[in-house]
Amino acid sequence: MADLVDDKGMFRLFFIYSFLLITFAALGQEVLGRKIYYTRDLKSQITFRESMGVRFFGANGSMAENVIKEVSQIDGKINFSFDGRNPVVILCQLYDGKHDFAFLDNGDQVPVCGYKDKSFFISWDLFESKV
Amino acid sequence: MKARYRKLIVLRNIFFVTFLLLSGVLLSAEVTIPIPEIKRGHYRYQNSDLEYKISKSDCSVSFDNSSNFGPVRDQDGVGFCWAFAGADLYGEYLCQLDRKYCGKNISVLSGMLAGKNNWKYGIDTQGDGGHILDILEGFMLTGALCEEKYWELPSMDSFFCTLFNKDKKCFRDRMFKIFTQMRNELEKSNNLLECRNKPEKLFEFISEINSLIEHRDISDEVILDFVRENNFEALSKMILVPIDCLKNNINVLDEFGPSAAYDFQVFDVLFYERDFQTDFSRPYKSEPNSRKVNEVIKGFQAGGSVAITYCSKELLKKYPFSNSLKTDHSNLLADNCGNHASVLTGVRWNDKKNRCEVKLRNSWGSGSPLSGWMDAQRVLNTVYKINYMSKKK
Repeated sequence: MADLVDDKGMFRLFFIYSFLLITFAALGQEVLGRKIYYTRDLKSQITFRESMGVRFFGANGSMAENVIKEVSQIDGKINFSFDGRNPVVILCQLYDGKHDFAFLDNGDQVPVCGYKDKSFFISWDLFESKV
Repeated sequence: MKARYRKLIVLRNIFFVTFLLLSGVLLSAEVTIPIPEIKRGHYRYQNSDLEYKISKSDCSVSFDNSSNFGPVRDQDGVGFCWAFAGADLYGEYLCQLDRKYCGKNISVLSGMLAGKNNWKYGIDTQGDGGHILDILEGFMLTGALCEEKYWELPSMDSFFCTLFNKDKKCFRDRMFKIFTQMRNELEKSNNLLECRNKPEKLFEFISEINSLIEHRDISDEVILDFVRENNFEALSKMILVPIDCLKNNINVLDEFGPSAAYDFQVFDVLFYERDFQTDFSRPYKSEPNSRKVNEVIKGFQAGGSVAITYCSKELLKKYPFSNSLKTDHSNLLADNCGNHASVLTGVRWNDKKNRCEVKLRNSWGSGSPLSGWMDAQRVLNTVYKINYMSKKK
């Protein structure tokens, strides 16, 4: 391709390639940049795994992952009553978990559901997993 | 091709390969799965009744105040949605008074304390509803408020507290215990001042309160005054409000003058016929959405955002975990419809979808399907009350 363009074209191509590479790199960082942290000070980042489209923290076969799998096998609706409280708190309690929240890098609180073995999943992921 | 361009191309290729290798190493080292896009727009309200339609002429405005607000909060397992919505509206009002308050959250607990009539903390966290109107008027009258960071509402179950044993996260449990204990003591105290009681009982009570206060410097005489006046709110404030909140109290009267504190009004627009708070069985008459969106726009034109009270269950019924109970639109309030309150931070006409949209700020944490730009018709179908603040004319 280099033989098909003149000197100016070579320069242009070089800079266009570089620009595109940098742009893609920046976009990639933007998309992957929604990191989640344990505390508001954003010191300790959580690295999640994924099961059935639900992000969770914990080992294979952890309590959180087992709940995700259990829920994925349920056919039809699971009825529970809610009254304006955060529905995922009630959902978490339904599966014997404890509700808490982690933090996005912009300070938004992210509801999670945790278990005795220190595993937990993102509550809204589970809520939306079967839609 | 000249040699220098060959070198340039070689350099570029080296740069490209290095970048790819580095990216691969970085990404494989720390895989962070992005927050997924929330699926919206798959659900359409089935009611074909024309009165629910919102036309372009009803919605020919564009407001987006979301940058006035702080991070999205999680109300946890308590029904304090009204307090979150009220604190958000008042926080936005402060932002309008001074830009330094923009993007900051106001403490929900300080707001609840300001809205005295609805201070029920520690008594019943299940049926702990209240009025947005009261919390706004409470802020206005008492001016007792601080930023969220000085008085947070930590998680009720405190999973991370258990995990890391961080005291701050456990605060709420501790406060719940203290408040319940204090309330019980105060209920007993109604008889403390009666002649038939021995003075020791009163001293026991004062001693009990003092042990709850711990680090505060409050004299026995002050506590006694509160008991004489039966002023539970003032006493609870002295005991419960963290020192950081007191030290960093935002005093609207001092900071902005009397007009900022008193020259605004809170609009409470009801879309039902009678007071459902006193009688849920009373008939509810739905109002056309065109009128509702008109009132919402009036709120935005008054300068701030708009709080809505609505039936969240109806909006969540497509989800597999939701209660399948069908909402009766002839009487929205006849049954538990997931009564909830949130703030609309924007309204616009979407030309691509040919629909009116509202931007919802919810207190269910990040990732909630009821947040962001949503179909206005779908949301307003379930709205039965709106509140907004406006300067008195």
